[in-house]
Amino acid sequence: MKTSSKKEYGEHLYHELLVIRVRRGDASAFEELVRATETLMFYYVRRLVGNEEDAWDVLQDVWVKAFRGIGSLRETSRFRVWLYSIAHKTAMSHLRGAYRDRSFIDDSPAPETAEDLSERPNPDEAERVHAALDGIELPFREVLTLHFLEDLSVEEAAQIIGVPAGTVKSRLFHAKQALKKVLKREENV
Amino acid sequence: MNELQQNFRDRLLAAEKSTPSEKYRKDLANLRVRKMSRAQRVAMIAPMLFCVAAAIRMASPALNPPQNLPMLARIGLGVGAVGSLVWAVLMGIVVKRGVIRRKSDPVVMNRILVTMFAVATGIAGFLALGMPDRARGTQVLVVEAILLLIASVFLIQSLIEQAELRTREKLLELEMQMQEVAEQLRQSADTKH
Repeated sequence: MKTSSKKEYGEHLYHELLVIRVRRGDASAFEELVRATETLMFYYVRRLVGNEEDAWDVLQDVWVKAFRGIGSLRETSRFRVWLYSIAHKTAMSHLRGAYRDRSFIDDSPAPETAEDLSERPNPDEAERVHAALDGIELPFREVLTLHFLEDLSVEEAAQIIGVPAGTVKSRLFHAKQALKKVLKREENV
Repeated sequence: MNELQQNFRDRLLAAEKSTPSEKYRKDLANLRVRKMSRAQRVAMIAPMLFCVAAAIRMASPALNPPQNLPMLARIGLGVGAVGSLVWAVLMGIVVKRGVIRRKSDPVVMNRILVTMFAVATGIAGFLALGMPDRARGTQVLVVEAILLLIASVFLIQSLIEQAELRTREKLLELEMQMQEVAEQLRQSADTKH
């Protein structure tokens, strides 16, 4: 799941630099940090909550929590995981119990011969994938969104979602299957 | 993430067309500051007046000392008076401004408090050394030493943390610059070929 491109590596360094500046007391660096991560965070939160308006409300809560807690973030290189996990928790408490009832989720282990989990669809299919994401179950949508947006390790994704690493692998596998089904169904329509 | 995956992510993000609500933008802009209500502003006047009163109370014996008041005690009272006055002025500025800057205001006030505390404990320690009652003097000295130790630990911790952050910031800046240079070199090599 992990082979960072130069662009992304630079992006992470830049975020970490901003986090350090915030921790050193440069409050304007926080605004810059929000600007730099807002699009990604909104995309993630929007996939978790019902509508656009709620997503902005949740995201606003995320920034408030991040602003309050950033001083205690000792490992600045973990900023990404930390921020996503705040977003996850905030969105989940927004959704209340709905997501916690996981009986409908297929968390059975991925087959041994499972395809390469780092694989992503063709960029030309991005718009179709974006639309198809709404057609899959929330836990699958979440893990897939994280997978598409960030080059996270399975362990990091597990920390964000708060489930064991094995569950992330399994969800990612099943999520890809579900996405393929939705894409195929739409092709046939 | 390779170039292809990066491209996929960019296009995925571009597919999400949404503009933040006015409320979101407004609240985000106010994140760094907290607007004070009229009641909060009025409530803050009380500690401000207390600081002014404390400054007057301390300044009076410092300027017109009663008999046998040691010089160190006068200095301590003087420092206390100045500190209290600075605190009162800062609170006055905040009350007038009507907003608390969440990150900077508490930091400034805490720094003043810590400095005053350190000076006061130091002076009290010296005064304890000159006390005629040795047992009482030692008692005061021990308490002062403990307080000073705790304050020093906090101060050193914060200094170390700031130094570490400064170093990390410089390293990251260097790393980013190196990356830019490497990227430029790669691009120029590509053009040559």
